[in-house]
Parts: sequence; C-alpha cells; structure tokens
Amino acid sequence: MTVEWFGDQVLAASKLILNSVSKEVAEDVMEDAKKILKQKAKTTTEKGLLNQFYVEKSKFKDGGYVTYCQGPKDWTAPYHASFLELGTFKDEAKPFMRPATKKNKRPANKKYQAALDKL
Amino acid sequence: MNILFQAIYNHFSATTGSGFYSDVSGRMYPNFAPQGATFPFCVYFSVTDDNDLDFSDEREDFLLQFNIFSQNNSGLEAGNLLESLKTMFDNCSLTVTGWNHLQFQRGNTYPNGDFAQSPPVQGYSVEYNVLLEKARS
Repeated sequence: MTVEWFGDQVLAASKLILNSVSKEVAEDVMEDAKKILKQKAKTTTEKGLLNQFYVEKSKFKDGGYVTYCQGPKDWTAPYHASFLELGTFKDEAKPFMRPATKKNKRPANKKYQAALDKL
Repeated sequence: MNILFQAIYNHFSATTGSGFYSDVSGRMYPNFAPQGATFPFCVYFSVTDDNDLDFSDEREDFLLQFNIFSQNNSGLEAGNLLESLKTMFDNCSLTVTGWNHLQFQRGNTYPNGDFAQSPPVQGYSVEYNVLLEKARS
C-alpha cells in the first residue's frame, strides 16, 4: 500500500496565498487610513502625513504585513502621527489608523476565506 | 453616541468622594479638554463605532479611549490615575437607555506624555471595547 502525503505542498500553498492576502489587506488598511486622515487633517503638517504611509513585511515569526504611518523607515519631522492618533493633553485626537483597521476586519476575513476556498 | 457618553459620565460621577472621580477632581471631558484645563484630568472619546457586527444594526461595537494626564515631575500620580481608572471602568456595568450593555473590556494602554513641558506632562491612553445591544420591547 502506498500513501501519498501532500501536506507539505498544501501548507506551502496556503502560506503563499495567505501572505499575498495579508499584503492586500495591509494595503486596504493603508488606503482607508489615508481617506480618513484626508477628511480629518486640517493643518499642512497633518496633511503632510499622507505622504508618509507604507506597507512592509512584518518581522514577526509568523509573518504578515504591517501598515505604517511615519514608520521607522520613512518619516520626516515633525513626528506627530501618534499624537494625532491618540490625542495629546492639548490636542484633540483624530484617529485614522485604528478606524481603518477595524473597518477592514470583516472584509479581510472574507478575503482570506475566498483565497483559501480556491485551494 | 450621546447616551453612551452620558452613561459613562453617570458611572463616573456616581461615586464622587473617592476613586477616579476624586483623583481627577471631577475633570473628565468628552472628546477634548478645554484650553488650559487644570491637571490632572481625563478626556474620553469614541475611536470607532461599528454597527455591522452581527448582520443587523441592532448591535453597536465601540472602541473608546480614555486619556489621562497629570503634570508632575513624578510619574506616580499618572500611575495612580491609571489604576483608579481601571478600578472604575474595567468590566463595569453601565445603564444605557434603550440598550443592553454587554461588555466594557479594557484593551491596549499606551504611554502618552509630553516631557518637553515643565514640569513634564505624564499620561496614558487606555482603550476599552464596548458592546451594546438594542433593547427589545
């Protein structure tokens, strides 16, 4: 009797697909974060953040992608993305990253499901 | 959602003599603090409001944030504020008119100070996940 085991190939294919969907989701989050920021940004400095977004492969062991605004590899002074996101003692918060992330949670699940269904 | 904000404020002001209300001397502001607000104080606001959680708009899923600030050379006051905020709001039970309150669960906490000020401003941003379900008659 011969048993053919394709588990490794299936796992490798799943990882490849999930990785590509992860990148797509991170890019969706970035685009939505930009849209939200565009609506909320009032000053030139705040609008300047629109050019400081990028998506990069995560360094976490399990992979994935990260959406940055003023991340370590691309930012220009003044550093204030987190001040805008969280608010400060004197400035009102104008969150844009977390609303974009939350907005994409369900669509992301659907994308992962659709991609895995194609396997 | 005003009634949720109102419910949070009611919970906050229910105990005035001790705890978080007393620690910030009643200074908890919705959305933003007035200019020149006396320290310590707290600001609370909604980061996201997602109403499509469960196939209908009968549920509301909020991400709320509380910012607490103290102006002090020592971080002790801000740390104490953080602890009393947690005591007051972690898994608290709110009365929200027309809604069943299901959850008030703490999420991430971020340091949020400004050490360029003199004395430095020390603070924290604390997230809470809040889940409400429309009350059925």
